[in-house]
Amino acid sequence: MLSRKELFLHWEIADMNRTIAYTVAATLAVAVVLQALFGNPDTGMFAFPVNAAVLLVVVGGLFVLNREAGGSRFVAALASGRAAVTVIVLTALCCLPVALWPAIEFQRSWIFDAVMLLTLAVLLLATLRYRGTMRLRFRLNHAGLFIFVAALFFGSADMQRLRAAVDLGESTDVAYDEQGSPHSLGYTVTLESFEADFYDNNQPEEFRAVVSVDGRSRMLRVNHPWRKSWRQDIYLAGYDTAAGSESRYCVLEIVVQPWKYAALAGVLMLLAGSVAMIWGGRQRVNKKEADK
Amino acid sequence: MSWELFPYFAVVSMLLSLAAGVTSMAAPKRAATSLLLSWAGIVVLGAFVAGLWISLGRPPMRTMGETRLWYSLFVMVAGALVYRRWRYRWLLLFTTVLSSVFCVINILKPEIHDHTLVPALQSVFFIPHVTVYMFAYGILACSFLLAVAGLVMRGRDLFESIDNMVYIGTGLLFVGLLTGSIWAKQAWGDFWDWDPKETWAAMTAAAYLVYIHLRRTRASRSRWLLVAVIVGFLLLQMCWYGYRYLPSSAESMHIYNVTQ
Repeated sequence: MLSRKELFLHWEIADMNRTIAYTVAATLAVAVVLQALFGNPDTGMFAFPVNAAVLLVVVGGLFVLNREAGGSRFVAALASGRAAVTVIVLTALCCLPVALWPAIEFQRSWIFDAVMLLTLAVLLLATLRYRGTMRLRFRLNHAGLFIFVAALFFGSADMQRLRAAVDLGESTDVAYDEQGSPHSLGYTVTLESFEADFYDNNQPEEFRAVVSVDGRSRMLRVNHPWRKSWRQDIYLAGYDTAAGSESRYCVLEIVVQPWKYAALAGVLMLLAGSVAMIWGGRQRVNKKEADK
Repeated sequence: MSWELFPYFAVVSMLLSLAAGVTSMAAPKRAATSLLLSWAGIVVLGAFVAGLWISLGRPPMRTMGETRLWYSLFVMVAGALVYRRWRYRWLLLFTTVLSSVFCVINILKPEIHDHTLVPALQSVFFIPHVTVYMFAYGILACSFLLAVAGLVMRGRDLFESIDNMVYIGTGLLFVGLLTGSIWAKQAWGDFWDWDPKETWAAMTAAAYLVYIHLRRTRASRSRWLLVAVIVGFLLLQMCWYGYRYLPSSAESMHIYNVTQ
C-alpha cells in the first residue's frame, strides 16, 4: 500500500511523462508536416541575421518562460532528467540513419532540426534551473554543450566552403562552392611555391605551399591553416597527386565560419566539465533531488 | 624494438596477467600478490609499447593494430585500478581475457609494420586524442564486464563501481571527442562533419549519457540500466572499428588508407 506522499509522487511523475510526451510528439508532428510539404529546409534561408534572430527568440523566450512560469509543470518537465533522457535517445536515433545511409542527409531534415531545438531547450532550461550538487560541473557541461550545439546548428547557415585550384605563380580572387558557383574572395591569393615529401612506399609524408595575399605570405600545411580573419581560414586541401612533388597547382579551401569562436568556447567549457567529471567521479544524488 | 618481438612480450605479459587473475580467484586474501603480478604484466606490455614508439620514430597510434596494442594495455591498467579499489575477484581474469583477445589478433595479423604517418595525423592532438580514447575504451570495457556480471549475478549491487567507471569513462570519451573536434577544425575546416566515425561516437556518448541521466533521475529499473551500459559498449565497438565494415565508411575521412 502506497502512502499519500508516494501516491502524489507517482501522479506527479506520470504527469511529467505525459507533458514530455505531448511536447515531443507535437514538435515532431510539426517537423514531419514541414518535411512532407517542403522537403529538407534550405539552409540559406536561415543565414544571418535570421539565424541570430531565431536564436535570440529561443533563448529569450525560454529565459522569460522560466522566470514567469518557472513553477509550471511544463517548464519543470522540460528541465527534468526525464526530458534529458528523451532528447538524448531521440538524438541517438536520429544519428542512426546518418551513420548508416549518409547519402540521404537526414541531418539536414526538419525532423533532425526539431530534435536539435528540443535538445537546446532542455539544455538551456536545465542550466538555468539546476540547484543540485556539483553545480559548476553541471553548468559547464550543460551550458558548454548548449553553446557548442547552438553555434554549429545556427551557424551552419553562415558557413561556406569554397575551393580554388591555383597554378604555381598564378593568382585568383574567386573560389567556388560545392554547386560550382563562383564567389568573390575580396582579396587576391597567389601560389608562390609548392613542395611535397614522400615515404619510400609513396605515401605522402608532408606537403606544403607558400601562398600570399596582398603582400603577406604564409606557409600552409595540413593541420596548419592560415587564420585569415576571425571568420575565415585558408587550408591547403590538395595538389596534383599524379605529379607528386612536381605538382604545378594546389587546391586551396577557404572556410568561412563566423560562429567558430562561439563553437570553440562551447568546446572549452565542455572540456573543463569533462575533466571535472573525471576528477570528481560519480555524482551522488539524494532521493529528494532525484524526485525533483 | 620491432613487431617480430611482440609475441614474446605479449605471451609473458598475458601469462603474468593470467597468474594475477587465477590468484585473485583462488586466493582472494592474496590481493597484493594478484596486483603485483597484474602490474608486472602491464610493465612488460608497456615496455614493448615504449620500445616500439622509440624504434618507429613516431607514436604507435595510427594503424588498427597499434590502437589494439594501447587498448590491451589500458584494459589491463583499468582492471588493475578497479581491482585495487573494489576487489572484485573475477575482474582480473576477465580483463586478461579481453586484453589477450586483442594481443592474439595482433599476433595473427602481423601486417602492421608500416612506419609512415600521413599528414593529417601529424598534429599535437594526435597523442592526447588517441590515448585518452583508448583509456576510455579500457575503463568502459570494465564497466561492460560489470554490467554483464550484474545481469548474470542478480541481487549483487555493482552500481557504485559501474557509476564511477561510466562517469570517468564518459568524461574521457568527451575529452577524446572534443580534442578530436578541435583537431578536425584545424585539419578539415569544421568541428563536426557527420563523418561515420563521428556519428557513431555521438551515439556512443549518447548511450552513456542516458545511463548517467537515468541513474540521476532513478527513472529506470536496474536491469535496464545495465542494458544501457552494454548497448553503450556495443556502440563503442562500432565507433572504434565496426563502422569500417559498413558501406557508408567508404567516404569516411577517418580511414587513412593504411594497414588494418
